[in-house]
Amino acid sequence: MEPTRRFWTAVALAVAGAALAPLLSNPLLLGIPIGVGTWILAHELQFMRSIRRIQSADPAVVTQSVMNTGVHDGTNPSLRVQFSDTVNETAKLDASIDVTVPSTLLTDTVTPRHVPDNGTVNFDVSLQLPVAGSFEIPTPELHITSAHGLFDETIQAGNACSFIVDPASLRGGTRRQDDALDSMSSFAPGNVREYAPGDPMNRIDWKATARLGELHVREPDPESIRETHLFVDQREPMREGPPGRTKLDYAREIGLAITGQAANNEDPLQVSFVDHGQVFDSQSVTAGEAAYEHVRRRLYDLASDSYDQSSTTDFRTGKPLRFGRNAAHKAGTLADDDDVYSRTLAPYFETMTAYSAELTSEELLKSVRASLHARDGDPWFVIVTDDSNRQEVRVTTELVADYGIELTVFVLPTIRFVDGNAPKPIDEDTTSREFQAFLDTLNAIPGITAFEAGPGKPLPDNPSQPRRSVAQ
Amino acid sequence: MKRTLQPRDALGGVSLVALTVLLYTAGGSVSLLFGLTAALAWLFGPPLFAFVLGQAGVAAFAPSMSLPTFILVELAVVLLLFGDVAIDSPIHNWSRAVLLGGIVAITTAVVLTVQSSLLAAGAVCLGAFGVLIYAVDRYEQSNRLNSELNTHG
Repeated sequence: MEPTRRFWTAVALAVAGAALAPLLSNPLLLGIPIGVGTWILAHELQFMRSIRRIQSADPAVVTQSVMNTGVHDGTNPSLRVQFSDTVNETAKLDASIDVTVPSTLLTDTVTPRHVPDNGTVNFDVSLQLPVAGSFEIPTPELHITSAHGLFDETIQAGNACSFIVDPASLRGGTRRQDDALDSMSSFAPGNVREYAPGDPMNRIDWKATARLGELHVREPDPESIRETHLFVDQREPMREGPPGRTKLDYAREIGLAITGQAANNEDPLQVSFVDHGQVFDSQSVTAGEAAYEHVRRRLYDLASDSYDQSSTTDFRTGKPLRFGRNAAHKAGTLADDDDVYSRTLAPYFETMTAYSAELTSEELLKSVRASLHARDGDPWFVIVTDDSNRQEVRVTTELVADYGIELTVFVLPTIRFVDGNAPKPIDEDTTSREFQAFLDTLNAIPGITAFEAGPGKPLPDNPSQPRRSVAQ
Repeated sequence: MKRTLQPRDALGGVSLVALTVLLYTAGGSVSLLFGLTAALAWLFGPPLFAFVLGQAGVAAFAPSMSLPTFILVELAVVLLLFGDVAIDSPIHNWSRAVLLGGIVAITTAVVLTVQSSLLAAGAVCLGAFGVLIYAVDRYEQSNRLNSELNTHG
């Protein structure tokens, strides 16, 4: 309960009355502080009772629910807020209701809605969901001012809302993501036949080609069952981007779409979450609705805002991994000393630091390599990562190609996720061209299909030239 | 908050008329100014300002009032301040006990100290109300905290 300016005005009048009484030798002026004090106290007690009644009202005076959710198909959902003063308290108060929707989900600024004297107000707030995922809208807030404006109070009233939005498909992202969807059917394995002019390059079965000595393509066969190995990069660079629209948020959407496709085809699915300090964190290759649901929940939990940059944790143990930093710290400390002990141990710790740096930049490669060794049959590999470590991505794709396994790579361009406060790239055109050149490099590797993923239109290959689709 | 005239304001209107007439009978045209300014304050602001002006008028012209007139004019001033509290926001249960007990205790303390020093009586009055209002605020906060803990716990 916060006192307002009106409250302090009343207090000032009471003090004035108490001060004038001895000055004018008039005891009746003490009636002013007594009256004002009683008046404030009466309203305070009354306000307290009103707050209690509003908070304990059954049914609750405020309810909120999210409409039109379920599938992320471009339709904006809305939050419906309904206020009904069932305890008849707001008529003597000044009340307004304010939704507490995270700003990233709002299309417009939402101002508090005043509750009219009849105590009923309903309104809708338009929401935008840039990506599929799990969302929570906290309990609305009710701002109340007591009668005659003596006190203010903000209370939580009503219910919180949580809802899940599944990706309808990869549509709604960039054109290259759409291309990915269109060519999804071609990923399904099937019969192998000789290559004919006009066949898409990504249907070439390189293993069969190598075995038979001539180009062969694979005909899609929806009845076949094929393992899907999904690798979702969740290392620190994937946290870049505005809240709610980080690379990780888009990676989650792609991961959910891939999971949905695997579930539709009843394909066994393995998901590896690639993180700092952990080389391999994976679900086993499983099929069945429970397994798909488990993967979906894990993908929904890819929360970028809970990431603590001060410590990296091992997903399996939950314990922080400080090896690299400790080694670096000790190496630095020993470098400052000049005794025999330091000279002997310093090279050891410097080696450990280098090893640590190498480890933290190769988790994706190590994770993919482990899956390659554990694969069964002719799986489909999908990697969702960004371009912050292009060398690692390129080496990883080459490794998969060496095994003759079909691989789809979704690359989130860092230039798309530059923070508004961060310095912009000096030459965005050059950066875009470099990214396209990187994608082209990946697509040139046999069996590899690379897509640009993320928000907005695809980055232009060359701003002065028409765009070219990567997926052929 | 926009002030609109309601049927409950009849009590305030009657109080204002009584206050103005009684002050006029006691102090003449000068005291009429207190009544009229109190009426303006009551029309366009919270009853607090009308009460302060009315009580100041009573304090100024009480020596020329008879005891029945004084009692009536004090009653009018009190009704002016607490009319809407009594009608719109009646105090319930233990809150009423806190309010009445507090007023009686503070008024008694003021009456006892006013004989020796008006300054001390004013200080006692302000201090006692300050403590009481703060105590109620703290009680409400702890109560709400417990309620929220129970809800989310």
